[in-house]
Amino acid sequence: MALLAIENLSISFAGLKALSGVSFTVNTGEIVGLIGPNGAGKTTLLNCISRLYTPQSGRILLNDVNLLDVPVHGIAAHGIARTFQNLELFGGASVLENVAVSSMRRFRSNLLAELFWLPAARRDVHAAREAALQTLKALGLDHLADQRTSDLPYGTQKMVELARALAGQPKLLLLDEPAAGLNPDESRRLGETIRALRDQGITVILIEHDMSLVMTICERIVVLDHGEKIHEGTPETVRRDPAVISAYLGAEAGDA
Amino acid sequence: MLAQLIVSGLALGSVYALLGLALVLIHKATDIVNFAQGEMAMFMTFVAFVMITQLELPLPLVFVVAPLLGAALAAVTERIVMRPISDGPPVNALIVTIGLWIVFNHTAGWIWGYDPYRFPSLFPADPVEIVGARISPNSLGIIAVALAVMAGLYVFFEYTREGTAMRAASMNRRAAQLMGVNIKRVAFLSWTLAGGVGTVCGLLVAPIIFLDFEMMVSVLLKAFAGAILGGFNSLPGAVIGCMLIGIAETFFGGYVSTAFKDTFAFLVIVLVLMFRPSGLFSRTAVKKV
Repeated sequence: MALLAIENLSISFAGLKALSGVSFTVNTGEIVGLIGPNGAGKTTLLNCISRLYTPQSGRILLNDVNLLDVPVHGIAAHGIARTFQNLELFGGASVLENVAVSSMRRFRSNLLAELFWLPAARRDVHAAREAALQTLKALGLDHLADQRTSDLPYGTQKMVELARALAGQPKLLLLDEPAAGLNPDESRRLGETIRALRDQGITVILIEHDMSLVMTICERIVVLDHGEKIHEGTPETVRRDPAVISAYLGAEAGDA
Repeated sequence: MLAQLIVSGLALGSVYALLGLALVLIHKATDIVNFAQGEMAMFMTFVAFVMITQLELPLPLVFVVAPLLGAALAAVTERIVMRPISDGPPVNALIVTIGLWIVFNHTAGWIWGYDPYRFPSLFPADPVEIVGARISPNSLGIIAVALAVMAGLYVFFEYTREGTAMRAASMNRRAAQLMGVNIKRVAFLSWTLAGGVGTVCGLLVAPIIFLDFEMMVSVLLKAFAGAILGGFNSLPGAVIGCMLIGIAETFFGGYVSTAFKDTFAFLVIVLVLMFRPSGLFSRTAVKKV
């Protein structure tokens, strides 16, 4: 059953087409890889789904809700969370606070209770922090809860960003190059983590340049090049597709 | 003399700190400096004056009601004037706040005239003897009120959901939005809070310098200097920066001359911007790459 349907999505910046007529669906419980050469439009597509960008045409349906009618800050409530290619953490805050910002959405007392710091508001904040701590535990990061996020090594910060995304209890998780900057061992463990998340019922869209990771964990792969979908299939069909091979090897292969 | 100067310096610094906090609150949330912050406080202090003299409300009640009305005035201003232009370039909003300065200033002059009024203080004026120093209860009262406001802000930002969301938005707007934080709401709440805090500043400063349509101009200048000392993006930084300005100004006035007080604040602004543009307390002046 399709959780997410991208329909005929197009967006251009200053006349340059970043995506043109891209369509595909993502089923519940799938890990779908999104690959393509640099500048293919992968991150642009993720930015459209997470509503940072508004496409000029097309629709994005999540369980038949058109996401284009949802504001950016409503995306989390619709069950979408993401990580970024370049970290977008709250650097000055602690690891726990970073994650708690995300879990707090699920515990909301009203503003008046907050302004007067009533027990209901205090309970909510406590519950949100507790939930955040549980998420950190699940990823083995709880010992870092009080650390200032920007002081941590890059790979750890990437895991904190993943924890923050998960604390919102998403149905759909968008990962933008989560393995970039990780060593092979960290990258392998990340693959196991993503699979475990899928087994818990989270659907994943993964942008990744680490092909071994993509080929091992993705059930289906969508290949973009110059803003167009050039292939959609299993890891096996992607590997054999001539269009994909030429997109990756690029003009040099054709010119030579 | 020394203890006296320190206490009056801290009292003056507290007043600046409240307005400095209001400036930084809005700047953190929206990247906009609200040049009208002082004039809005002045306007509300006149409203408080009407409540005291014409409605004959008790002063403590006015100290509660006026800041709430100040918050409401700022909230309405944000909704009607600032929000429609919030998607445009920040410089537009900046110029609009300068326009608001003029609007509030002239409106106050038009309604209440251009003469200074004596504004009652919540605290007795006669100095009391504390361990050999003659300390003004008014100074101590100002410090206490300011500290209470700061403690309230601290609790709000550290321990409430809405406050945490506002801090998150000030650190990374894009990420905060994706966590469900509505940045338009954050801007609205920041203006509201700043309006309330600014009004408290006006109520505290009016008994010292007389209520007058231009009374906040020099206060705003000092609040700017203090906030810039603190890096303009940190609430505690603004408080410490403004306290330093208050103490420095009082000592300068006490030992040297009172003639250059405002020039002194400008000098601080220029020097800090030249040599420590991200403030005295920033961890790193240069962004790590």
